[in-house]
Amino acid sequence: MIGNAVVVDAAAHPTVHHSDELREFMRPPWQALPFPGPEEYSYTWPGGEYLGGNTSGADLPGSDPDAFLRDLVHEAGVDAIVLLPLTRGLLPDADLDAEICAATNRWLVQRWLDGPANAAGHFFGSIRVSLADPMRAAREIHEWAGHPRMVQVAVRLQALAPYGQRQYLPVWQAAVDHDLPIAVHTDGGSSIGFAPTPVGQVTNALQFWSLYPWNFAYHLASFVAEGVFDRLPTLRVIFADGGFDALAPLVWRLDKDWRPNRVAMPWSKQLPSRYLRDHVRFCAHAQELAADADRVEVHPGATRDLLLYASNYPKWDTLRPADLAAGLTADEVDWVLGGNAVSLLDLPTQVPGREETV
Amino acid sequence: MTATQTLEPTSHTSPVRLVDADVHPLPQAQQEMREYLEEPWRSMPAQTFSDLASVLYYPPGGGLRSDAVGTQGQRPGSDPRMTEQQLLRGAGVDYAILIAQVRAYSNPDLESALCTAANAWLADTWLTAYNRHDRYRGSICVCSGRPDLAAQEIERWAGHPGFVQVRVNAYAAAPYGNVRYDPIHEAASRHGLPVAMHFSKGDGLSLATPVGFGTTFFEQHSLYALTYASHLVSLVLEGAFDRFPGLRFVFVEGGFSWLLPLLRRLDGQWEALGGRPPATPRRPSEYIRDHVRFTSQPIEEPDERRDLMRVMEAVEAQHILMFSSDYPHWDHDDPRVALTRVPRTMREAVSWQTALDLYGLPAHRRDLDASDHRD
Amino acid sequence: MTRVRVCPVADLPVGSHVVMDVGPKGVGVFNVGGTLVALRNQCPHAGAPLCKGDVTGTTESSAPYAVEWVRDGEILRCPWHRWEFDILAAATITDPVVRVQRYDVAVEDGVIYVDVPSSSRAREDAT
Repeated sequence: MIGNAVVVDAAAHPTVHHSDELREFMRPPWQALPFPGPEEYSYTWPGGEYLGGNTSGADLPGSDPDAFLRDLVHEAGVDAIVLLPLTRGLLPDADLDAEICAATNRWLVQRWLDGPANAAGHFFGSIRVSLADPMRAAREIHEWAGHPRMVQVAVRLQALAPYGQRQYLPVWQAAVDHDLPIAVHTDGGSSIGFAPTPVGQVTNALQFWSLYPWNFAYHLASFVAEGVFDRLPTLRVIFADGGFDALAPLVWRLDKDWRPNRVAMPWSKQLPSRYLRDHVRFCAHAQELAADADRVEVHPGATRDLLLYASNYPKWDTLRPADLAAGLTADEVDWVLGGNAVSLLDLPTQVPGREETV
Repeated sequence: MTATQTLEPTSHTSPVRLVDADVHPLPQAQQEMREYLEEPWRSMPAQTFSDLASVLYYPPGGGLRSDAVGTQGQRPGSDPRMTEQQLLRGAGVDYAILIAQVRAYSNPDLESALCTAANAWLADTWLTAYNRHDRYRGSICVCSGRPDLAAQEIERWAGHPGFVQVRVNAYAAAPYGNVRYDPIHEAASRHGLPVAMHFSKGDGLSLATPVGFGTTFFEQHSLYALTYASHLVSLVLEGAFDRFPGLRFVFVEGGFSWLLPLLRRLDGQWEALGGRPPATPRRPSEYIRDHVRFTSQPIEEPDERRDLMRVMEAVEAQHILMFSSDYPHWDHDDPRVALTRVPRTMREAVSWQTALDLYGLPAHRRDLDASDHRD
Repeated sequence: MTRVRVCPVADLPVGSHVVMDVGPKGVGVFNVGGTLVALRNQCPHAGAPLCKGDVTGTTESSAPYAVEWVRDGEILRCPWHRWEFDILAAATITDPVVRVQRYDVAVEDGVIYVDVPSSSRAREDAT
């Protein structure tokens, strides 16, 4: 807790101790096939990808549950942690990709959610799915949705087509059937796909990370243009890489272009900005903190309504809740640090720390 | 070729109060521009030049103002008399910066040839025959897919007093800070010509976003900002402004309010690096005032006008923002409406001063006639 | 207000309209299914000459990816930013509703009249 606020970390990134550990949870033949490792390979941060600089240990940073508890719960005041494991990138083989996601889910449940490391109940999880085979993804969601600690579905920000398009509907429908939000987050590993910008390649990590999270907007525009929020009125999407800092400028433009173009997309029923409160959330990121005076909101109360604290642990720019709170008003703090996540993810009443606020 | 001549202007002048940094002249028919092509392109089959190509993302109402049809029914933007009536007299524009559109072909050699033709056409028509009032200035179209030919084209026109900048397509195979474009940046900055980027229709991979191809024009057009942000990040972080200290870029029609959060990100990263590579020598936000300008259209329309003004104040728009109409496109801005969204203290700068300085325009312009005079 | 003669009723059949250079910004008089409507020739969005836009229909969608073409002849699309207005309602077809200034129309002895604000200035040319 921070002050009176329950603190929910909406996105922290656990990983296997070493790349091949995942194979213990995979079935043949995929178990023996080559696939990328779990880390960020193309755009590594020059100062070191992880908190505390480059690791010299044998195990990957983020592979030790006790380190999460120490750094997030005991040192930073986090009460509940939503684990969002990354997978291995957008792979050309739909079945291999799906099996990697399935194995990630099995591993997360066994080693983190149901394991002794979670005796105090701080960890919650995300159901990873691949979108290459939407029907398979829907089955994966159905399989894990009943687990009491799985609180959301997680997909990649990288995609071969924006997420409002019709081929994805079975996946969103499955999530909605179980009242699970969809978290969208840049994946690790190595992906097939398009260039990281609409005009081609970048040449270093600064260029990549300053811009890549803003690609949420293509998915958001797609959801609006294809009428997905109208079709699935309870669908909620969390852009877990952030991008909230660009929301007002981008949505002003989406709103401005909506009426002129509505005739070509009559299944889109409302101005884009009107979908935000009911359908869209953002994880906060360290690079977006703004001084109060500079803050321009897409609608009054947007920060309070739409923003979720997330650590992004154990990346180098891990955000501590106290640092985020310093830039929030008193009206916003409780909601952003944990209230929004508790409500959005329907966290059970035994969230550590929550009972104390009743 | 039929050149519609305008009336002989007077020798009287009026002080400049409005510069329009984005106006699109069109030929009355494709044939008009094709006559400036050299071989082998001149003899290519007619459909090579068809307006029916590259209509992949298109505004459902059509791309041009339907009330801007010419005085004899010509298509909007092609009749200098109508442009004079609607833009110079009606909207009160003193100087207009013309940007001809050359669509992004899949073949950069063809696109380069068409750029050459477009520049020759513009020089003959809107910068000469239609420019007795001397109130039009033009942009040298170049194809960024052939930086070598682009540099040659800049050399060809740099001495012409009517051309005040270079134009590149916002769709590109790499963002504009990439070293492959150095020949363009070198030639442009050596001649003191800003480089303006503007979207022209494309096809194929140029239309890809990082997450694939959207379905609608709505998705494409509304997020031009992300393309421009990518170019800006590249120009700053790949060191184009360090390699070419005299280089200036104009971002046309991509909005500008996204600049505020982007600079915050770039500066935050720069601080986190503490000067280590690959940090740029200067703080990223410091490059903007010396090297970048933005045009205002389509101006943002937040519910709360004060929100946009606060953004303008935060980015110091009085130094970097220039009014533009995008005449005669469908989403153009009327200056009398758009400029009300600019803080009063910035209106002169946005209306004319920043553009005057950037393009080296005279502080007075010739009157079309007695009724066009303004004290 | 000034009463301005538009034209004989027979000259404005169903589906037709006329734009007149009267009043502060001009007036468009429309015959929509037999009902006469007069709108100020100024789009409430950004000042375009609204009545010079296309009179058309619009699209609705009653089921996912189904499209129906409806209200043909009832919709006016602004010639600039293409906002869609219901002529009879003199308002946008989407929320938040934005209204167009209307003027009263009268028919006397088979002739259509419209009441417009008196304006001594010549109407500015649309730009």
